Amino acid sequence: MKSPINRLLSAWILFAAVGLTARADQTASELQITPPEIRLIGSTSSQQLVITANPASDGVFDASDQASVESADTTVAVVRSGIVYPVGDGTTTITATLNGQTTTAQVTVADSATKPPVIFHTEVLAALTKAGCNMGACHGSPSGKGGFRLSLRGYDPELDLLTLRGEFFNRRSNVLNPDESLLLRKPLMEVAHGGGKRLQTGEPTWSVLRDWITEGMRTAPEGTATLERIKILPEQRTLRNSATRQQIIVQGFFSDGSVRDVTALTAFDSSDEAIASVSDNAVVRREGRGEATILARYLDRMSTAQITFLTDRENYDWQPPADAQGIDLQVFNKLHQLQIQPSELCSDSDFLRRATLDLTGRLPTTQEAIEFSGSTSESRRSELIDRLLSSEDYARFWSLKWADLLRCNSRRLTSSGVHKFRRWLFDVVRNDKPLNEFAHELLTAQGSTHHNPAANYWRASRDEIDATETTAQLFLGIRIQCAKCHNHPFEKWTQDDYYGIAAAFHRVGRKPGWLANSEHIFVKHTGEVKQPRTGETMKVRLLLQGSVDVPAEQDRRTVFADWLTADSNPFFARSLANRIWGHVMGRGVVEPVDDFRDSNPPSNPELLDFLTQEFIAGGYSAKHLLRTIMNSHTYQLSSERNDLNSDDEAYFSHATTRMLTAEQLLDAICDVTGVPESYAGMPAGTKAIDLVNPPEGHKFLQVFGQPQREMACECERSSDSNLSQALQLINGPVVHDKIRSKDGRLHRWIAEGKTDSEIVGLLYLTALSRAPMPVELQTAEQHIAAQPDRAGALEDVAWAVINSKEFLFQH
Amino acid sequence: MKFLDAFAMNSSGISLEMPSLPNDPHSTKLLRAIMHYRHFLQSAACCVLVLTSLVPNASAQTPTIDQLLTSHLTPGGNAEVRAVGKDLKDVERLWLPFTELPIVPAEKPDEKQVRFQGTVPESVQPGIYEARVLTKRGISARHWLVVDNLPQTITTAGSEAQPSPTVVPADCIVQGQINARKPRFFGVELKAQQTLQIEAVARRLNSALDPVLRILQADGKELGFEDDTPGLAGDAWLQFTAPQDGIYTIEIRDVQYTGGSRHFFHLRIGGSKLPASATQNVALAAAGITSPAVMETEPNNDTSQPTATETTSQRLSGAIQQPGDIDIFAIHTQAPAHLCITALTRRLGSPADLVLQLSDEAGKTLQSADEAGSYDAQLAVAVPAAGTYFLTVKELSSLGGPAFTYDLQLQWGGRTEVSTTVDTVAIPDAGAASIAVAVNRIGHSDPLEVWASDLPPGVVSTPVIVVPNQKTAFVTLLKTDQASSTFQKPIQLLARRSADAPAVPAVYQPAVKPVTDAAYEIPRLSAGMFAYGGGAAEFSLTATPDALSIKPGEEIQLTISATRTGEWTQVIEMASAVPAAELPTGLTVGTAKLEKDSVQIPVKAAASAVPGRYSLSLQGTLKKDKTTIVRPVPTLIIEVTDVEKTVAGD
Repeated sequence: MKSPINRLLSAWILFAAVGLTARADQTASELQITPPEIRLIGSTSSQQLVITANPASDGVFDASDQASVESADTTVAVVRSGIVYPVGDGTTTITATLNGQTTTAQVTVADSATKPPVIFHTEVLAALTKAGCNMGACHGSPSGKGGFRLSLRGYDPELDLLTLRGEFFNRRSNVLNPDESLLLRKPLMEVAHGGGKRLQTGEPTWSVLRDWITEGMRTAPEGTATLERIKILPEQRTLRNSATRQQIIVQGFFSDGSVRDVTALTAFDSSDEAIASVSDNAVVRREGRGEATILARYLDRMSTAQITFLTDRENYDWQPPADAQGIDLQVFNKLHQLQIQPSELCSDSDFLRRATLDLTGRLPTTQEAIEFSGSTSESRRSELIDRLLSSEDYARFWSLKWADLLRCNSRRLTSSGVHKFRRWLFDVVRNDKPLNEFAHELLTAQGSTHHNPAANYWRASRDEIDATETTAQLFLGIRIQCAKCHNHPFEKWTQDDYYGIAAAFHRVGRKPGWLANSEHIFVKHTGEVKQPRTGETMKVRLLLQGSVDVPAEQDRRTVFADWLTADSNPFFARSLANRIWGHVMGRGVVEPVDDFRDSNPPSNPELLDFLTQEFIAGGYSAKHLLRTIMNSHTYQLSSERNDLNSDDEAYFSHATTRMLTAEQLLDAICDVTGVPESYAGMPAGTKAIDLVNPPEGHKFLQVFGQPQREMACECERSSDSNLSQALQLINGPVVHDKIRSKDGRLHRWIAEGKTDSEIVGLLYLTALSRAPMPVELQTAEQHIAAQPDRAGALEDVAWAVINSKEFLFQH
Repeated sequence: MKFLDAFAMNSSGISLEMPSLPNDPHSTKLLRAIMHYRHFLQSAACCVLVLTSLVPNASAQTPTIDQLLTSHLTPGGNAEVRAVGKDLKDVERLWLPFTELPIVPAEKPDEKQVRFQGTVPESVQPGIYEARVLTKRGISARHWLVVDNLPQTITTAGSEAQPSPTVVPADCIVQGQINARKPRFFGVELKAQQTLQIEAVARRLNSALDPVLRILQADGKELGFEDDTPGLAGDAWLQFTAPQDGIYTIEIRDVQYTGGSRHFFHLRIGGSKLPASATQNVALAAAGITSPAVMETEPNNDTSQPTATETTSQRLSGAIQQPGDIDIFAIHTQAPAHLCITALTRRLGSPADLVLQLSDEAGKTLQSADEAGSYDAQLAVAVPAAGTYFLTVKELSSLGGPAFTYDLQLQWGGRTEVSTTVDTVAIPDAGAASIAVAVNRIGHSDPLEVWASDLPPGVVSTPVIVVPNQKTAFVTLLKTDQASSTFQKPIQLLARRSADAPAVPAVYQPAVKPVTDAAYEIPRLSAGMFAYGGGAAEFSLTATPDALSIKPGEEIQLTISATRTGEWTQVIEMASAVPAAELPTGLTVGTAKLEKDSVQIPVKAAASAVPGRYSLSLQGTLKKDKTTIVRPVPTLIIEVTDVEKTVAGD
């Protein structure tokens, strides 16, 4: 029987051999070492290498595990398993060799005889994070685990230091005999540990913790360099066919100007484990086809790399659409890169229905369907877009979207307030108020909520906490909520960022207005926000820019709003362009549309850049951007997929089918049946999209996901399918009563003496904006003929049409 | 039952037993009164006072106006007014601040509507005016009507269908009412480029309608929209220029699509905006604010160019003419003094919410008043030395415009504010009624004298002396034998600090904050109330003697006699209407049960009592079944005499 070591060795040899064999088709015509220059200071320093073959070509692959790397002077540095270690002070060269190709990098070693102390703030915390000790599910939870509490992912180093060094009479560490420390023995599973085995003897995380205990668990000396940022290398790579892995490294940039390899203490995550996995030793491996983002976290800093794995597809024959430009150019470049074949253009009837629903929320009328199908104008699609954009229906529907997000509900704004605010939103949309002005107006609004309905933003948002989270999500596309209690665990946002934004919104005063049901919003000139962890009085903070001083008499909101809506703001235009795109395309370039983060990158960054620039160039006009999007080839693609885009859900190679929203669906049923819905307190004929307030107890709208407008999140509008929806459609009173109504369209047609085929034709035209296909007509006529009750049979046909996917879905 | 339920839910634990009189016309009054005083009841200090007004009077008739429809009220023109409401059978005339219109006798008396005819004096300016209907023994609450200068008034239901509007002339007034969920549509024929102004007057008439105006072209496309025009108290004003010849539709509706008989409107089509100045001037005059005002003159945005005032200036007026506008006044004093500056904005219909700041010549701020204050800002500051000071006037939200007017009252040496929640008071035959007056002293702690003036013949009232720590005074009105059995007359309550000080009228401040749109009454500056003969009282109280003299350390007995009617034979609990803590220093008033005709109630003067002349306000409370009746004893004057002087006199 082989010993475990022998077995491991055999497996490595086998693996290596298989690797060499498997990659026999990979030929290196050029090699590159990353980083090209290496500087090692102190005996504990090291540098992970990335050896890249053919870096400038499609045949690029990671040769870190294949190339042999040797040091020219092993008295200065040695290379073991792709990592360079210092031996003695001096300079030498390392050479990587593969397939006869070589490349070199220079190594400089200094202070090799000195063992620098372990730094708690930059090394111990990183080790605890990498080992997972301080994650939310373990000791990083608010109450800790097993009596041991750490701050979540090390956001509070002082607390952690206190806990590790002093809590319970320092029972967790043994400076005289470090290996007896519970801090090591538990994660090594030498004693029982609920969190399982988290460390391996000899690995970097273990070494850091052990050395720190050995050195007496010291704090960092005064003046110790702090981490400023990290960078992951390579930042982007597309690997094809047999290139199935990628070594990555992480560089830490410190306040003393030094750049250190922090790969070993960095934690990694993949945005899509089905495409790429990433190991603790920073090797990304292909699991599937597509793009994935690798997120590196070291202390409270993040960096990402985009890794794409492609395999050639059979029958892929790229037929670029002629004269692709703008949106289409960006979309088709990406599709070509991923070897995804876009769908064909949709039919005119599909386009009419799609554009009308997207812009106005309603079905095309029969008259519109007839006219559009009969149009011979080459520009009929763009003419339709223009007509719809200039209609009041567009303002009605798109103001509904804003009303949802701005929490236009009577519980927050009162029964008359919702009417006034909704009307203001209607005017904003109808007049195409530039959205930067719109946001600025909302954020700086004051006065009576009746005279100045924009001030309802501050009525819906009752304090600076709510305002911070709402504003960040609405206008920055950032979900910053986590940073309220601790630095964001997966993002760069800190508590300072959170409370710095809150400082901009703290001085909003509210008092009852003198008009009934109104509130008066005003600016106070006193009041400060304190960062709860540090107790620091926060200045107004602009993300990625820092804190600013605002004169006492100035409205702090104005400073924030000026920054937010400036062309140079990296978030505002981008998030709104993405939001608008998401509304008409069914999916954002960043999805969810209000969740921008490094670990959730855009599926097509170039497309998002283009949309952003187009939005800014168009003066932040929603209509301009919508017009641009909807006139694109991309928007007009069919929802029918082909063999080469059937698995695409992110790159817009086909139209995204999605169920009509609750209001769209109810209005559509009302339109098809000719029986309007009745809503309490609203005039007869009111459409669901015009409701100023979610009606109480309206089962149909609730079941289909109408939001209650309690959150500034797109996610509040549920798009999930459920059994209740099916029951409503199949057996619910709304559909049945409207179809059966003697005042309804169907019975009027019967009363008018229309034939079966005429009625079926009108039903299809009304519901689906097209004539029935012969087989559909024939099936319907056969059913009607077979029934003794003609009216009942026609009701059956109407029911079937309303329950068809073609009716229920946007496509 | 809705009112009862609402009351039960909101009375915060105060138990008030109600008469069960669902069909009694007075039960409505009682319920309304309870609603009216609901919040006031929550103040223990005011509880006793409130019950005074809850007395159901067997013979009083309280007419209710839901709506006033006017023929065409124009200065110098004939006037016909139709009141629609309840309990209007015995109505005799319509009272207006400038005239009274007698009723037009109807062949068949109608409890729900009556007509009045007369003439509007030529001197009356177009504006919104208070109106009340008067019966022999009752008077309605305030209502409001418009004297207008447009050429004609059309009273019509109006179309509820947008495609077929009711066509009206381009210069007219339309009076109507909105039904729930149904806008009204009026068509106006216009020439191309013709400009039309449309003004909905509703909230200013206490209509429940929160009006929205729209202009539509024939195909229904909206060409104009307005809601909540600043300065119009929630009403709307819209200006529109016709793009081409044609009939344009004016839509008027409630913003929430509510409607009903209380949702009436006075729609002005054509002409300019209804002038607010007339209404404001009437209100200012009624509140005793008649001194000439210093008008701000621009530029006055910094202290180098202030609007100058005189040391005698008592009023400053102006407007925050555009967003961010600042008005600065230079104020002078020749000696240190307490200065109180009170802004009037909201109650005059202005949307301005002022921030006032007083600073000295060196730029040091003495005081500022902004969001921490009430809606109408007020500064009360001790000015430390003679010199010039700068008053800065800003809008809280940096808003501005022509509608953002203000009127500032300056009072050196302190300010006295008196107010009442009472709008009408019924004085029973051979009995007395009591009116509670809240007193607020700013910058002084002087005793005050509060009295009623303009009383009807035969009604007497003894001035009440209000000691410095007293916050509520009770003015009683006694109907003597010389009084007419029926009368209705506007009266005033006045207060002053000394005989030579100017009298300050008590302003009417409804106690109930608006809870719904329908119950909403916009704040207005108004003073004065109506007294009317209220018929027989359940019981009335008199005191013997009616003037007392007492020495410190002495106790005297006051005899209270009751005259009862009908079945009101229950025990009457006698006590001071004024809380013990607010009585004159050293004086205490006991309690007593008046079981039959009379009882004695002790009045004590402690050794610490301060010699002087004071008022005593006593009241009796009778409970019968679920009814509680509170009646006052006419105000008594008590003199605490100096011990030594009295001895010397003896």
